[in-house]
Amino acid sequence: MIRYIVRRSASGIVVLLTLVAGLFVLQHLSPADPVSALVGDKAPPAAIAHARHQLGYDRPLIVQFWNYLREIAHLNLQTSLRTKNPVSTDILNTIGPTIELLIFAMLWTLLGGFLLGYLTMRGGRIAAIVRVLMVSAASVPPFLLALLFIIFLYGRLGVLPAIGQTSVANAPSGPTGILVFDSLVRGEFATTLDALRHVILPSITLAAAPAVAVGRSFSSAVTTALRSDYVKTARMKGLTPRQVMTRHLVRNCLNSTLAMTGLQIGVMLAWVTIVESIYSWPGIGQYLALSIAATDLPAIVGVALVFGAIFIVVNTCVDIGQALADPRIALNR
Amino acid sequence: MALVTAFAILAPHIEPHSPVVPVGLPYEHPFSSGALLGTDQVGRDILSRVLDGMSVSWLATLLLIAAVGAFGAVIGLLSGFLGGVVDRVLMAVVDLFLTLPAAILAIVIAAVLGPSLLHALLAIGLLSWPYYARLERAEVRALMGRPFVEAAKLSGSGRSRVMLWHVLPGTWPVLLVTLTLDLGGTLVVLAGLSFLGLGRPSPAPELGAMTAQGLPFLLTNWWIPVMPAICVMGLALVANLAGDGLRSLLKDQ
Repeated sequence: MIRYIVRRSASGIVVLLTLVAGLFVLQHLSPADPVSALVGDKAPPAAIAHARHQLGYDRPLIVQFWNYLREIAHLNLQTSLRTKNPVSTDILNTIGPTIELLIFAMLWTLLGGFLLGYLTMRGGRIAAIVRVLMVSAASVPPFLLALLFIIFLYGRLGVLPAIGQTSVANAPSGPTGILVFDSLVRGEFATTLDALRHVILPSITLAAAPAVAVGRSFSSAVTTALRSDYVKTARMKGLTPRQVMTRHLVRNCLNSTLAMTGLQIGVMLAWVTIVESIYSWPGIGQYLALSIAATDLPAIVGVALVFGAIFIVVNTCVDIGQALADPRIALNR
Repeated sequence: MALVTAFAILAPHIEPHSPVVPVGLPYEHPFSSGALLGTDQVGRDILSRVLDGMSVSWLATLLLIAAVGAFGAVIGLLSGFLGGVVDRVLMAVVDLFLTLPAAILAIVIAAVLGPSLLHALLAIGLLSWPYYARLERAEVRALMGRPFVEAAKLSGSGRSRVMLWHVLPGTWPVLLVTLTLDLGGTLVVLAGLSFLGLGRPSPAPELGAMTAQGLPFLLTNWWIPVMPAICVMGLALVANLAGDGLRSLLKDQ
């Protein structure tokens, strides 16, 4: 088991390094010249050459890559062309709200996924209806869902707020940026309630498509398991359907479903960009959208690095967790 | 699907107005004064713009899926059929790709290359071929053990003949169904990139970008951002239903 954990972590690190290398190459492929972007197009050639030398852009690529890795290891991610701040500072300032959004979206995904999966595997008319709903839901782009939510629930009915993280003036801005948490710590319960109301629409928007994917994976895992020998044995032992379900089925199907959930985080991290900019959510997603609009490459690459690292770490942990829950996985590969 | 494709090819000819030139007053409601879906913030006909955008998105996605599927199939076929070192090297590359966060990297690649439809397609394609390579390899491996392949080998057919004539056709159905099923998702992702401004540069109409640009008018003139977004859903729905139908057809056989 320990060997498996070490091996899995090592391969996670290899993937992470590949990601860094890929981003490095991408940044060098880009037609935009980072030096002239910093000093300005109209700077005299001598000044450009001087800046190029100072920034190390005139050294061999391998040396540049080594420096790049060293900077990243020190959590130094270049300087944003748009905000003129270090990208790492910008990211630290905006990561809190995004984590808040992702935590709630993850909750909805798991809740909705298992509910949908449960409803479809029960069979009958409800299952047929849910299945049709799921096919249509898989076709709804998140931005359409956001628009409809805003028009009906915010615009027409006015039941839920749709803009920003809170409408409370001078809400606490620290220490984590996760407003629901920050306000609880300070005992400002009214703010907590307000923050909770604000997070509902964006998090559901983000969770809809992943919930369908998780639901599908769960129900297909269950249908396969229903035909397996251990379920037949459990039935023949005289266990009631409910007991078979809770003791044998659900547990065995949890693993593949959790793996699916881990993969869905990648999808969420991509869509969070759009969802945050529609709901004016002050997180990394909106920061990335603004950086894209301004072709701010250092910022774009920095955010991609952080998102990619989150994705890889989460999925490595999911894999190790799976192996701990089901030791056969560790032996298989 | 065929119907939608035909529509997409014909779309430029049935648009009632030019998609880029204003035709009337801005902010006209749907079903009013000659503009079936209303007009946008500068008075362009939304129906024409949406038709043009749908046609481009649909054809681009079809081409992309076909190209990615073909590339993945070639890699998977070589890997599965040849086995050995080729298989191990190719699959190591594929596995590495599969563990990378594809959707996020697609955004970065498109952003770094600069806004254009081709770059957006390239970004998605670059990251999605490994899925089909894996699938094709698994299919090839499953077929390799079947008696008819053995028979073909024993009857003296050359390796490439067995590969192209006996193994490859057997893998088509599963690959085709998977490709169709992924069509809808790819359409939505493409619209997402376009929403971020990484598709066709304006003023050319593209569904995602139209939604993003119409966002400020959401609460006053809802149809400007909602109409193109609904069209994305419509296209994705057609693709998903077709994929589902094909899949159950395959299951029945």
